[in-house]
Amino acid sequence: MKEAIIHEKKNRLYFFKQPFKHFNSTFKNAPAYRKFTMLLNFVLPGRGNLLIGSVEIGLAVLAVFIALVVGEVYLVQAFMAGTIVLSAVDSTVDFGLLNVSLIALYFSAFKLNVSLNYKLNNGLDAPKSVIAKFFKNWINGLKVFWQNWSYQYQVSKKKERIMLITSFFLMGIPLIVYKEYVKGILFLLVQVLVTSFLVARGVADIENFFILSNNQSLNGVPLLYGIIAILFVIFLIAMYILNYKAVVETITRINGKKQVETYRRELHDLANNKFYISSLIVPVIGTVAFTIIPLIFMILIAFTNYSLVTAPGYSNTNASTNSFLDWAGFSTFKRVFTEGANLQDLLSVFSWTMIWATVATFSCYFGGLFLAMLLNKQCIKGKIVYRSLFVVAMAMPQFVSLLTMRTIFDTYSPLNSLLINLGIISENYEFWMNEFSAKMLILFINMWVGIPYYMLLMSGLLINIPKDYYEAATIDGASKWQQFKRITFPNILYMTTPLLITSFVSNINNFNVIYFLTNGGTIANGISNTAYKTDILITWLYTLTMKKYDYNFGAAIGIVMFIISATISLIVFRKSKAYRSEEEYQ
Amino acid sequence: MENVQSLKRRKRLNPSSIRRKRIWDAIWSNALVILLVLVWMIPIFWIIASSFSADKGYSSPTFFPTSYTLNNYKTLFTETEFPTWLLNTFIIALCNTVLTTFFTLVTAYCLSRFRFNSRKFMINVSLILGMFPGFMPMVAVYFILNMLNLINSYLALLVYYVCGAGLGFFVSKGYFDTIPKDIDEAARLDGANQFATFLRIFLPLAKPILIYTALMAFMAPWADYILASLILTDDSAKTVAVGLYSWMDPTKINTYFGKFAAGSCIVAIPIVGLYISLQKYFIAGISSGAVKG
Repeated sequence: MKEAIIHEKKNRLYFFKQPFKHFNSTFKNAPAYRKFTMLLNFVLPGRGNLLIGSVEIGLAVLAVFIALVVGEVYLVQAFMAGTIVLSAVDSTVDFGLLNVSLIALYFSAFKLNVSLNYKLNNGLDAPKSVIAKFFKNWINGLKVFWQNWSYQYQVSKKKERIMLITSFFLMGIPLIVYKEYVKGILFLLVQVLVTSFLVARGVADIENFFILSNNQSLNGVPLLYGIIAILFVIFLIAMYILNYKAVVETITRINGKKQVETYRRELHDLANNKFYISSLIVPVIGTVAFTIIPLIFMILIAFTNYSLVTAPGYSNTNASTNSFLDWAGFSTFKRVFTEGANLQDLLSVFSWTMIWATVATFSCYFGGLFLAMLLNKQCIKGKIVYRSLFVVAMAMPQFVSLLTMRTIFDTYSPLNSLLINLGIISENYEFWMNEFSAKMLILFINMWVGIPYYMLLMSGLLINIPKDYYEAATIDGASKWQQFKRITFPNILYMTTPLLITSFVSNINNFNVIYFLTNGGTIANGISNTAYKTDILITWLYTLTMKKYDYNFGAAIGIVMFIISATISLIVFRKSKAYRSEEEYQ
Repeated sequence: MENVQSLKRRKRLNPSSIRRKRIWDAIWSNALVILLVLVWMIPIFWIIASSFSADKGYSSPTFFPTSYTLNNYKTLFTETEFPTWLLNTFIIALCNTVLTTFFTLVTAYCLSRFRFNSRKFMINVSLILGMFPGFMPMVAVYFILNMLNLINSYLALLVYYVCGAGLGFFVSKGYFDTIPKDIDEAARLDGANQFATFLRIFLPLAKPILIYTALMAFMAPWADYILASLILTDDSAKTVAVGLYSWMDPTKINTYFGKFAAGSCIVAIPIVGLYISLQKYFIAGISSGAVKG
């Protein structure tokens, strides 16, 4: 027993102790040059890695570290000077998160550096630069291709030589000649269609994309056309490469006196070992058209002046004469981070987003677990009925349940009349007009909506925990609470850690609850008047783009949101077992 | 030390105290469950009661309305656009169920069963795309749909949902990964092509995830507000979510609240029924999506 406790304590300390322990031995064994980099890493995290070959990681860590430090200094200065005014809660959350991420980054940079030096000391290779590897691979591939091509050209007869040259200009022709009709016609069609599109309007679109002010209007559509045209060019280049590879392959076969693939064979392949090509075409095109293009568009919008707020003298009636869409560099980000009112909005919205996401995730998680365990008890009769009743609350479309809840807590609502009738309050209480009560209500109503979902999930998982554990624990005299602490919770937590993270991220993106409950916001916030006190980042983004038409500002906020959720999910997904070992079962 | 513990244990195991404890445990657990059920049910009862309410607006001197009538339902179907909204949402939902389910599952099948060059790249890209705020691309989506001349058309919603189907493969891929490879290899040795393997062998094995995906696809048009409110601005071309939400506007709420309640009930009943009858599959779906160790 005693040993077990000591072991556990050791384990807890492991994380902190291990790097220091290894640091001593690693430092002793390192040559003078790397000793210097290891010491340098204490001052500038990442710098040490940069100097000994791990370029990208070193640069990334260094950049993030410098950004965080500069950000912190800047915020403290703005806070002291009074350009931003934050409530106690907001400033605690904002500065707390900033400092936590700084410390975490410092520690992980330290660990990275020690492990890298440890590897080098023991004669192992340091991780190679990914970007350099990528280019090396490409150049290598081209070299091999060129060798193959020139060899095939030398051994070919006249007809094949002509074909090899032709396919430089006309895609797919040689394939058609050698009766690989499916590929050949496809490549030829792509070339004809894309080229004619580019000639007809694509080239002009691309030009207008780079010189946006050509368009003489404050309208985002030219930017969109430009993106589409550029994607078509990339597509054409990719097809050109694929086409050439296919041609050389075919000619190699002919020179080797092997049989060429017939079109029957091609069709057969598409239904069998190349089934993925025929079936993924539609989803890929759909994703490019309705997710990737729009996202590129919105990211680029952040670097333009596309906003009806800042456009000088803009009016809806007379748009064309006043202001044109143009590239604006980082001026939007400057607007977000240097104008006091905007920065203040961002910081207060950010802190409420974090509080909301944390509380919403954990309250529903533990509430669902509790409810599932309660309904799992033997003494409860009619479990199925109860469970179905909770499912009713979950299954109602969200706009129905949330709008009902909003009405129940409205100023002139029946709840208020009930409370007055009971003599608890003397006049109508404005639940949604008071910051504290509005936020509490949002959290509680979210529990009302979310707990049944987790209840269903947890009751599915509780069945998976072997009954033997509990029997053994009961025989040993463990109390219910001990059983929960030692058996139920660790098992459930182990199974649902990824879920916790994904639901945290999806709560950051939870538009419905906040928007439907507050009807887009009731309590104004700050000086700029775009954010409301109950707004989280996503609803603020909605107000900015849909109500205020401040597109570039909204896009900048969207990028900030992306960085937040990407950081959280990347750290977790990289560590999750599912990502690393997907073939465990197959 | 040893003695005291064994004494304590004996005391705890005393039959009469155990029985008493059990009874108390049963009483408070049942009471708690009933209390919680009430908390969850009261708002639902309230909206049902309001749908039968004879009062005009939502404010009344008592919590539940005092007089009841069927008038809200009658006017809902005779005097408003609600029947059109309902029918069209239903049609979108049905088409979406078929198409989105098919494309999602086919994508998941390919990414789970084939090993091709850009596979890892595709999975990573879809992970990254999922990290952008879901509503961020809407402005551009509006432009694109406008370019295709689909504004104020139900087809726009369907096109958008189906085009997004490819990105929803994670849950079903996780499920497919657990199905042994030998099964589909055996089918192919027997001469079935990939499509037949997928349709005849694979889908029946993955029935829970098939039903889960279909249920989610069916639900999407009923719950989606942002895109629908952006695209469908014509009063006759709304989906139920947009239409009913527009009645909650402060200027309309006093005349339309009863109809809102009635419409909500009509929308909710089939959906709730679906969820309750497909509970088993729903649990299988959410746990295979969540549990990845």
